Amino acid sequence: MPINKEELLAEFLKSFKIAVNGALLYTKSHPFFMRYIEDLKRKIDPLFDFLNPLKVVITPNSLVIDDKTFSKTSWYDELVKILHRRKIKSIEFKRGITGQELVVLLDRISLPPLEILKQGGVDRIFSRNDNTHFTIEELDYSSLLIDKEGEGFNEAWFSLVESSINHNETRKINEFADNFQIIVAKIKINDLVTDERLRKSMSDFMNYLKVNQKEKFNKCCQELLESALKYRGELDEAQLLSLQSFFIGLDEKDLANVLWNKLSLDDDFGPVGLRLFSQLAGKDKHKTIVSTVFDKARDISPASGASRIKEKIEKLFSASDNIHIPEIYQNMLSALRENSSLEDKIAFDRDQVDRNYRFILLNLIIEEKDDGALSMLLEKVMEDWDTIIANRDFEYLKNLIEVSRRKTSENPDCRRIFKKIDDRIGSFLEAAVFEQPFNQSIKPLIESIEKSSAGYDFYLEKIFNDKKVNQQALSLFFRLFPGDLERFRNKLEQNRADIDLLVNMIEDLKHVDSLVSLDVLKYLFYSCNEYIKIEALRAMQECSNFDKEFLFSIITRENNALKKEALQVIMRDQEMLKEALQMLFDIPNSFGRSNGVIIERISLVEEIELKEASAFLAGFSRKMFFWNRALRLKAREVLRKWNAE
Amino acid sequence: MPNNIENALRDLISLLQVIKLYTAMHPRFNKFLDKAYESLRGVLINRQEVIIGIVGDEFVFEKEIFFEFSKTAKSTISYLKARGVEKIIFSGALQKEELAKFVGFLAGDSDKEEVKKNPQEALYLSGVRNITLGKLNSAGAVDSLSVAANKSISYLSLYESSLDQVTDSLDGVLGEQDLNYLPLRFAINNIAENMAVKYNEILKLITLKRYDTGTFIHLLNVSILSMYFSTKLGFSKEDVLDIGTAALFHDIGKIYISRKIIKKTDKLTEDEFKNMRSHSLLGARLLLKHTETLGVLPLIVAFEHHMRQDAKSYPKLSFSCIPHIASIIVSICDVYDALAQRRSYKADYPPNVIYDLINKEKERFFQPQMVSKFFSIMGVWPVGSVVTLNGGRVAIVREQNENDIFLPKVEIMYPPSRKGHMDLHQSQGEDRIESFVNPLRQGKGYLSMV
Repeated sequence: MPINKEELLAEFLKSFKIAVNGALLYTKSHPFFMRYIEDLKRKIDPLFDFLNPLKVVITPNSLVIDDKTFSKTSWYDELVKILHRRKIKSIEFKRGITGQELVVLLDRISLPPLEILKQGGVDRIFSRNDNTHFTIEELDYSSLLIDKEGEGFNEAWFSLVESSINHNETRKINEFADNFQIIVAKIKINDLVTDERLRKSMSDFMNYLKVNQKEKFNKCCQELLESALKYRGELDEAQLLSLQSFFIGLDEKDLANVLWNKLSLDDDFGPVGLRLFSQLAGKDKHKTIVSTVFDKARDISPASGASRIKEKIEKLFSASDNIHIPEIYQNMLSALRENSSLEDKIAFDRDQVDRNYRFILLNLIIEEKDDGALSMLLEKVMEDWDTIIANRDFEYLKNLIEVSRRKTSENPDCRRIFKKIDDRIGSFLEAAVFEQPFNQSIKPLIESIEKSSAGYDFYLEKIFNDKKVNQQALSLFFRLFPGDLERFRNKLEQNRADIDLLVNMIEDLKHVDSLVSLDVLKYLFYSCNEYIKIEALRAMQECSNFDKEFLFSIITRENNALKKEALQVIMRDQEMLKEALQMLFDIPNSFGRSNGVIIERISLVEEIELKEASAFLAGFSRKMFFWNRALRLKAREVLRKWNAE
Repeated sequence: MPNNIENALRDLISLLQVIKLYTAMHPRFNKFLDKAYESLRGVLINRQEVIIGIVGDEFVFEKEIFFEFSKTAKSTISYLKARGVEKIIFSGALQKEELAKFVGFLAGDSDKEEVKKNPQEALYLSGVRNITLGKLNSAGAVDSLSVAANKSISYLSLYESSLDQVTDSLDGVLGEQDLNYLPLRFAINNIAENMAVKYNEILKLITLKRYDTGTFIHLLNVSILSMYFSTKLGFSKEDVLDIGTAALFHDIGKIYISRKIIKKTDKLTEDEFKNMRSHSLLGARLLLKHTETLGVLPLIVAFEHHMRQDAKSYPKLSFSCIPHIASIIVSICDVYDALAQRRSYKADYPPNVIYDLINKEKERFFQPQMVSKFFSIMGVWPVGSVVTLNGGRVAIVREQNENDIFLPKVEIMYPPSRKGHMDLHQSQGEDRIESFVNPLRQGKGYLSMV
């Protein structure tokens, strides 16, 4: 019979271990399990005389009770592993613990570790208030990260992250972020690109950080990238794209940091890793990354490991024969190796190969007289069409248009040979004209379009269904379909209620500035509401063309708001203005019957500072008789105001 | 049966070429592996083993000698022999993984000590149990050649087998036939790999071969020079091989036009000259049909290699572009090699004159920076040149001197009392090259020493 604390503790732990095993093997109603529980109760109760509460702390390798460490025997080792795997940091038993409570405790901690994680950890499992005589403390999540067991890691990660984000558990998420480097070292990149769930949870985690913790987001992204670069296999394009999406938030400086870290600190970083880096970093960032890394490497002093870097670069450079690394990175390595500058580096430019090939095709086409060979050459150009468009090589398109013109003017029979490519160019340009923002480089090409390949309906679709409109598109549309605006007007009519569309269109019509655009503005004025009318008139104020009859009808019949805008159009032509002012102010006014109207009109000219009306105002300011007093005063007031300025 | 064996050999060789060019990770490798394995299995049905031998330059199997096939596989035969492989035994229990390991082994580094010493053991240790390598039984044969001579013969054999491959490929293009690109690329790859280790040996061969007026020798020389130049510029292996391949075809238009015109000894007529000038355009047209196999670089180089720095080039361009670096490299190497060759319309120039001629025109014809770079790598006196030094000595240039393109490292051959190696740069002006000795004329006696 044990009489001292140590012996009691030893007995207790053995019994606890047996009970845990029993919980793992049997159901909670099984007689064997019940027997183990009874024994455990018998062993724990006397201990409370020495330790109450009795706290069992679980470390990765041992149990600690009352500052005494229990380890290095099979009794304790297995128990430690079982509890530690379930992320239990400590269990505190209090005097009075019942058998039933022990059953609950053991039943729940015997759940598989993944199940515990899925349910949100032991904290959540024991959160229900049915255990008053024991307390479970959950292991700090950062311990998950140093757990050497890798099995089921992805599942654990997924469960933890999902739970933490859903419950907005900032503390846990911060812990993950702070220890992310260790976490990510356990995630296989292959799994990240093939396991949808893992990819989603990683993406959710990163997005959470991006919104809430930008600095941590950057850090974790970089660490993820550094880890990814250890991958030695081949990734197909879809996998690369999915992996690349994680790093879109990293700028050139961050990426350069990662590359520099790999070059300077990772002995295993080789050409495969460098190639993967170049694929993930994004083509448009290469130049700045290379320049930054190059500067870092050049600035490093011998004391800081310059020779080590040099060795590394030599190794990378000589090992890169069978691995395709973009030229820009090869040049960087080569320049570092030879201690020359990046600018001195003679490079093999693969992009230039494609460009020169296309230009040679143009030259061959110009020289070619045989129809069959000409068709073949044009086919070759068409094979490269996607690259031309992807590279936005508008200079090349311009040359292609010129080639087509020259050949068809030399030999009109060639037109049928060039039709396919002409149509392709035309369709592309007609679609490109609607791109937002409009690419100015294609402006000269647009002007070369003589006939629509896309068709009238294409334009209506774009403008009224896709709501894409700009001055170049409108200008092109009016040019290609002159005098054919009936359906266009019908569409305007149908979209009268779409204020945004009409306002945008009016803005563009202003810049188109042609008779046709004026026509459309007038149509909008007549068919739409007050707001659009005003917008249309305002647009006309900046057009070089105007319709006198239309404007005069406004100033005589419409309300003041519209009159004001119309007057501002008329103001641009002095002759027309004179006539307009005459029309406004030189009206029959016996006994001041029209004074009200005139005063309104004076307010109008006052508002727009139409000083050309001064002569009329001067006349009004001298009007006699009491019925003209208000008119006199108003005129004088405005004149005074204008004279003072 | 002979057809089956030949097909199996063919598939095996293709597999070896693929692994050399693309690595075992490449999807193409598995495709070729399956095919080669199926072929071999077809042969091994009802047989305990199949023994393939290489006798001389021919593949043999039992009583069969594959004469025609061996001609097309010359570069592979050289390759295998260079690795000490004269006999391959496939056992009936051959597994596909073993075949993959076997070609991987053949494609690997043959200079490793354990491989050189005992390739069979090295193969066995890599897990291949059902393929055995070995040498032929050569009872009574005495090898009287030195190791160095053996190596030279192997480089010569490499050069000549590559020349055969180049000839086949170019004839194919000129004859508007389909081009089997893999063996050509393999041949170029072999040269590039050997050049990485023993560039001086290869360069020496070029120097000598320049005096051979064989049709495609100039093309192969330009290809080798271009690859050497590109390697020294730091280009990747893939880029080097692409440039080497492109260089082979740079004058295809010229060859096509008329051999009769080329061999004319008096001046060309206006029409004939016009035809010659258009050879760049014609070459590009010819190569257009082969862009899928050869890529577009040969076409670009064929078109651009005569484009001049001062823009007064032919062909006259309606749409201009900056010549690609590959074209510039080939252009310089082309002129360099051509100036050294005897042609129907001109004599061959000594190296120092070539240097002066090219340098004089570098602003007009080439990118000056590239010309300077070229000579800093090649030196004025190419490896293998026979030269006279001051004091009546005769020497052979063995290696370039990075520090001075005019003062290479030489081996003095005459007088016998002064024989030995010397670095002319280190003698600080006391020793210098005085003249070039033409190996076809006054230098004939020294050819064997080169």
